[in-house]
Amino acid sequence: MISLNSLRKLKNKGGAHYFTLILLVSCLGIAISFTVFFVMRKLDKERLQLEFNRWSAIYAEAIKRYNEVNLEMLHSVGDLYAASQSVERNEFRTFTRNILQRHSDILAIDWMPRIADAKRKEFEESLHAEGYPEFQLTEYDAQEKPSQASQRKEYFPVDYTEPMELGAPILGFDASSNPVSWEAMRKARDSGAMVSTDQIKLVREKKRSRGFKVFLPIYINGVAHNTLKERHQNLTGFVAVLVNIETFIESALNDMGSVGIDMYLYDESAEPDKQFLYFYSSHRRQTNGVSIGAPEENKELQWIGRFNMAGRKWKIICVPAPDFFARYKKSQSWPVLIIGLFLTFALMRYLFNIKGYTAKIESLVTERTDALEKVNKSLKESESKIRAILDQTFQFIGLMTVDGTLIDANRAAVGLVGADEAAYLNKPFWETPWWAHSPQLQEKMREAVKKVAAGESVRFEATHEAKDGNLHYIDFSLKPIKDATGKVIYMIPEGHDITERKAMEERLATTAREWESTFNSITELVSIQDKDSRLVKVNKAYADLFKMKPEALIGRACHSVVHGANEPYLDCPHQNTMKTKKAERLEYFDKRFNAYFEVSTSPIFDANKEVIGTVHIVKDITERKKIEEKLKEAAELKSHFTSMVSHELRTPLAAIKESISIVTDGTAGPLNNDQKEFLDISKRNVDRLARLINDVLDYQKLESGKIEFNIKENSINEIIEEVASIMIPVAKEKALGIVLNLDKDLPKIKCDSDKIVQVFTNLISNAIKFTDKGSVTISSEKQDNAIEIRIKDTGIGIRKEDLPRLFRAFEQLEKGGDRKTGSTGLGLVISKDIIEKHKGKIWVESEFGKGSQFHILLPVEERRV
Amino acid sequence: MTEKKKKILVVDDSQDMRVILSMRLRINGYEVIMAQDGQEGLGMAKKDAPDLIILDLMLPKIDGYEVCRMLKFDDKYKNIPVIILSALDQQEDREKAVGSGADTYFIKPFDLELLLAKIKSLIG
Repeated sequence: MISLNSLRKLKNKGGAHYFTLILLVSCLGIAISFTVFFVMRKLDKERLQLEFNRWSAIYAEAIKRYNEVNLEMLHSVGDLYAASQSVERNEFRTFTRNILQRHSDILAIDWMPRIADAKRKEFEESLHAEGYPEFQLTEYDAQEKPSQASQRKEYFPVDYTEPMELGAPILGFDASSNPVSWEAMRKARDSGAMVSTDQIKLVREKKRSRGFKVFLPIYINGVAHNTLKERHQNLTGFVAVLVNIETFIESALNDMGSVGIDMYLYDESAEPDKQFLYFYSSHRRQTNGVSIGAPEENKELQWIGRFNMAGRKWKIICVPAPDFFARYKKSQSWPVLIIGLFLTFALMRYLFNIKGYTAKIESLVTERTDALEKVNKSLKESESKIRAILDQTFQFIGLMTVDGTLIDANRAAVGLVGADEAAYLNKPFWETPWWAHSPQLQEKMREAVKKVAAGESVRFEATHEAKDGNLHYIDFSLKPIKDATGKVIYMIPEGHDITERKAMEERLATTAREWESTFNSITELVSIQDKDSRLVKVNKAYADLFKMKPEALIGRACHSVVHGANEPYLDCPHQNTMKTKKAERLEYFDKRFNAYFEVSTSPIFDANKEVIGTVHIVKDITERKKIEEKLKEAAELKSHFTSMVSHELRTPLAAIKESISIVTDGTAGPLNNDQKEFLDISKRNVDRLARLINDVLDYQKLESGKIEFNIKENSINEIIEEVASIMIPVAKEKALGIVLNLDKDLPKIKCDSDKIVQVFTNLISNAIKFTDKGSVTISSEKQDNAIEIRIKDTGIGIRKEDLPRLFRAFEQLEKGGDRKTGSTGLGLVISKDIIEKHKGKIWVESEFGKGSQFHILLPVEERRV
Repeated sequence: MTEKKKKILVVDDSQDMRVILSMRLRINGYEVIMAQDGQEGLGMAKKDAPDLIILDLMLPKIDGYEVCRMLKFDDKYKNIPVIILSALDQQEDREKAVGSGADTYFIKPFDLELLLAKIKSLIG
């Protein structure tokens, strides 16, 4: 179909005018289609109306005519009475039978003479005589049962009635006793014309049906009855016909055939609720009887006709039944509209196609033209491009004829010599300035030209002496250009400066030589191995060890060369490096060489950082190993020595100490004061000596790192309390108090309790030692991830200048004081060492003359949850 | 004192130490017997039935550890308390001694009061 895009395309292509035309044609087509459609519809409707009206009128006319025939019958019966004063019963029967046979709608024909009350008896008797012994004048009582008529001025009894078979029971019935009949009879009498009753129930019909009775007044023959009075006086009786409405209508329309018109029959003279008489259905949808109400509202098709029927106004309403439309409403309007619209669209489509095709051709032409222009342009461009490329390139390019005459050269080539055109153009190539520096080269060029002219290509390294006198190296080539037959038509000399490349190559070669020398002069066994431990390169030392040439080792597996094994050495660092991508090392003892080796390997990566091999260095470390072993022995010896010295010093010291004790405490007999004093001096010095030995040994052990820490979880407060309990007696000797101020909520810490006891003992005993009066306060407190312990005294304190050397070995303060207190000067150094081994800190605050406070900070290990 | 004196065996290769210790112990009411090497000490420990042994470690012939072990791993003698009294002050020596079954360890020079207190706690 026509897409929006194609419309747009048309518009864009400048087809607006054409587009408008198509639009106009389309609109016109649609307009015409619709106009024809509506006109046809209107015509259809009018035709239908006409057809309907025509048929309705025919229906009404048929009924009217039939009625007239009926009434004509009645008139003829009337004429019978009008002609003769008396009509014989047989005569009546013969006459009426004929009528009844032809008109099935007429149920009965009656003769009702006017009987004055005075002649009642006479009348009854005359009929008794005729053979109706039971005859009497009757009327309907309240229960609608026939009973003897009550006395009136005059009576209109049924005298003759046909068919008699049905009518016998009503013989003698006074019609005037029935108000409905009397109404019609009265009007008939007064008007002298036939008058019909309202619709009445038909008693004599078994079927529950309706009908009407028409009365015709009979006057005395030959007497004028023009006035009301005359009519009253001259009335002799009534002739009446009883008509069944259903049969009446059906008979009237019997010959019409079905055209699909329904008909409603009304008696407009009756009371409103009694007006409906009959519904005639073209389809026998419903027979007479029950009212089916008013016809459907159909304003378009409805026909109403009225006519007079025996003094009553009858109304006929005709409406179309569905089959009326089926029969007459055969419309051609819709097909016409559809065909019209289809033709319009077909036309539009066609017009669009024509336009689209034209546009396609137009755009094709434009495209081709553009393409051609582009080709031309790009040809020009590429020409200048090639020239530009030739001029921009560092490559030297020229063009020469077959005899070797240079006819063109690019900018780079010209730039090399910086000469003007005359110097090189149209000259034999070998005589051009490029080769002027070397007659041999000129000769070589001449040979080359000759060869290439014969169809070969040549390539060699040429030189060129630059303006600054430097020699340039040129990778020169000369190639023939051949025509289709293979004949050489031109030659292209070409070259590029490879001076720098040459220099680079030289540098590389130098580097390689340097590296080779370095590699080979390394005394370690250096090899490069691929990932499968195969030797890629080995240095001289490596080859020499195996008394082979390096080349003979290349490609062999390292483990087969070194260990004579088929599989790599178990802990081979090469294998590890391949796995870890890191440098690895291994020491091992090689029985073959009776030597220790250290093997270290480093990864060699490729561009993708994958390890492709290792640098494998083997070092003979036998000497180092020997020294290490000696050192170890020496250390062990030293340790043993220390322990021996310790033992050997302590043993006599113990004997001396105990001997002096035995003497001084009087166990070996009484002493005089002088003896006691000097022995006290001996004892004090022995004690000091013992401490000194302990401290020196401790210090030595700490220094050498030999001391082992027995780290366990401990409560610092418990340790403080334990030390304090030992120190309290000592303090008491000097009348000093020991005050504990401990934080109850301290966490446990990991430490060597013996060592910490040693530190606290040292610090507290120092405090006691340097304090003459007052107290020593020991407090503990939780800090961030640490416990702080403070040992405070009220002693002599420390001079500011002495503070820095307090924790240094053998730095003694106040020599005199020391001698007095017997300190070795090592206690604080050892304490500091112990605390620092616990990753703690120790420091001191002091004011000379007032006291000192030592702080210890021990870390609390974070508990892992 | 009707009660029989407790007998202490002192094993030490130092004559001086033996004299000092025997004097101290006798003054404090103990009977003292002495041996000068490990072999002799072991023999006396088995023969003379001491109530307690004070044992040096660095002894000729059989060292103190061995003497201690031989006694402590023998059901007959294992109930005799052994106090090591040695000038060896290394932690490892102490541990070795305890490993041999020694009840306690004193380093020379020793604190007499503590030693006596320990003896008293072991044998009364």
